[in-house]
Amino acid sequence: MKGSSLTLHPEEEQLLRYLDGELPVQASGEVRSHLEACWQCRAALEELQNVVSQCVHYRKNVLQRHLPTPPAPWVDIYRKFDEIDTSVEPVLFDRFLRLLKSPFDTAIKKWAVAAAALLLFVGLFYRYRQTPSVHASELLRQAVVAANAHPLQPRRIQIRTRDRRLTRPAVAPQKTGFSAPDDAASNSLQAMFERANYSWTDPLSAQSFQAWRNQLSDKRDQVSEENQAYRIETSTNASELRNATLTLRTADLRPMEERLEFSNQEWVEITEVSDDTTPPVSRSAAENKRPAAGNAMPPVPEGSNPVSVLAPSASAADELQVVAALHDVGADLGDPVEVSRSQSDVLVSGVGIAPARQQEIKNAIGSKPHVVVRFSDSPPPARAQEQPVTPSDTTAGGDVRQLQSRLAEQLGGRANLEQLAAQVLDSSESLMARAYALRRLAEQFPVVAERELSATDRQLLQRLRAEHSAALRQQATEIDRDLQPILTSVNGDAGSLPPNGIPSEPWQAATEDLFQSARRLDKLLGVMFGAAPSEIPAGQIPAQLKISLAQLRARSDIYERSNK
Amino acid sequence: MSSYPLGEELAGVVQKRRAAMTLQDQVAQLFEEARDDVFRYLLSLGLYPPQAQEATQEVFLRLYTTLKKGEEIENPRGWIFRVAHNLGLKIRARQSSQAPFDPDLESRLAGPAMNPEQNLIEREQTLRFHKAVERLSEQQRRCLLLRLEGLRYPEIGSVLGISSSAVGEFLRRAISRLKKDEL
Repeated sequence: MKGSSLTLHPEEEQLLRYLDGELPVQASGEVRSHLEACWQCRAALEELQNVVSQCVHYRKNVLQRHLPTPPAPWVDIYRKFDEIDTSVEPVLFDRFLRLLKSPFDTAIKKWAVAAAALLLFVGLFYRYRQTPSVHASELLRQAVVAANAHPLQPRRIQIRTRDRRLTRPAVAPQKTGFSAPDDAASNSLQAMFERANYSWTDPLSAQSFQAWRNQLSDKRDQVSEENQAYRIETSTNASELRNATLTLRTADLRPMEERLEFSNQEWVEITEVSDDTTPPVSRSAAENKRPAAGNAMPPVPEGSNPVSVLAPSASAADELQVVAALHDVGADLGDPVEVSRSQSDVLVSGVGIAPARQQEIKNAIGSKPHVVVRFSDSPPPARAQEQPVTPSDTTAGGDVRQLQSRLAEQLGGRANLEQLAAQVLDSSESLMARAYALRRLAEQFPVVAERELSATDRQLLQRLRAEHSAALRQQATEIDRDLQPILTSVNGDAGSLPPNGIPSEPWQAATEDLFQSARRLDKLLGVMFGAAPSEIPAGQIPAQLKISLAQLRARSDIYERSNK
Repeated sequence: MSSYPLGEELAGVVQKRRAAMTLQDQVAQLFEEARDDVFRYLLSLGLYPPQAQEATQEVFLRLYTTLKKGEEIENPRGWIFRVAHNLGLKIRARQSSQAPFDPDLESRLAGPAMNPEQNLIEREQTLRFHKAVERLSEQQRRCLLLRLEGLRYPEIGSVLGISSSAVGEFLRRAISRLKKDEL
């Protein structure tokens, strides 16, 4: 069970997860056993449950009662369903069924059934064979018009096959193509496209799809709409490209992705490199090699290979570059930004980040390979200003209240105590931001992943760790300095308790120790200033705090040394 | 198609129609149960009431369309909130020049006329809790609101595009701050 090294009590997050049924079975059993034996944790659990109950009460008595009600009566949803059904199913069904119930004699009914079945068959044939062709043709025509009407920035696409992946501009210049002599893999792809008479120069476009489709003597189309996109699938036996599926965004008919299946069992998937949805900016006509709908990926820098780069899957090094870029703009310290790595991409995601900040982060990340950025477009509603934390009379138990009274007296009044509390808790929050950032580094780059890194990248990782740990140490020093007067005067017998020896473990494990120390300090500060329930007698808080501070500073010293 | 006897074919057609009716009932029931919750969640994203109502209806129609296509949705409620969230953000993005909707609950709660059944102390407690909720960070508040709607951590993570461990941390911080601010 995770927990403070001093108490082995479950942490608050574990208790909450336990309450919510989100702990794995074994961990849940451990917490349950602990709760049976521990009054203190049962009380803590009850406090959590109380807040949960208040939240439920809040939903019922505030949100449900006082938020505006819908301005109009709700629609008759059945009618809407029927409209959907009508648009999807031929009306013939209804007539057909009515006919079956009619009082015709058997012979007439037989003929009627046969005729209706024929109509049904024709209807279905028309629907599944002819109508989609019309839809496909019309959709493609509109998409080509839309692409020509809205010249946008150049974009980049990712081309994936069964065993390789490459990224290149969406429109490859005709002259160069994939002609690098050492690029046999790309050349074979290009040859496959050419044999199928499908544009390799501009594969992800309605125009290319339309040109290929129009030349087919035999084809079958299917059109569907889902997730804000039209999907056109065309199958044929008249081309080496047997099946092609193009996805167009419903809003502007912009091609978003494509899958091509060839007669030799090869397949190719083409997608935009990023789902960046920033508004397009105008560009010169000279840049508009193809006036196609595109996204706002930054143009390829001058001097770089303008055609394509065969790229391996996303690596730990790619992820590290992204983390370092985020670090440079402070986006690893509290912004709701997450970095995760799949086999193919490093995904940077975030929700509720202000547009200006999104742009800042995107600029920092730049056009690094294998990186996909996904931000919500929504500007976050204005956040209420953080209010200073004040020592609470009501949170703390009687012991803590007495302690706070003594502290207030020594500091010359409650206002001074409140000021100190706000200052120290702010420092603690910054300290925890560093502790979380370090822990994320340790999680993202475990020993195995770190081994994959080059010497330069390992140095970069070390620099990130060093910067975070130095800042953490600085915050700990400030907290120590701010608290020294009251700690000394309230409890003079607390001595420092350095951690036992220098850990010989990898930095990843040492990071966890450092994190737990920081968390312990944060928790004790919360207790002393009435922001968290007390697990220990109030009289021991100053001593524990002093020990905790000393431990943290010692651990961060060791940690910093290990970084050098 | 033609390899089956006509009677079986007709039975299949009728069965499809019956299945469609059942599906309508199921989605309609869910609409009845959850529309107000979705509507309120969309208000919390900053949508104005008319937009929120329209978007709510759209979400359930999409649910119907999706189920009708035969796609399986393991947890319709989680699906509904995920689609509502994404749709809500898109609507907000389209109207980014407009200030987000503010229900001004604080002044509603402060007015005794709005809460005649509550005594002064209860009103103050309610108001204090509301202010504490408002002070939560955006992510904390969203996690909390979605949890209040009965979504599990992975579902909340799916709605907000974050990991379920991050949901746990946001919720812990939210509860911790509410406890601190409220008590």
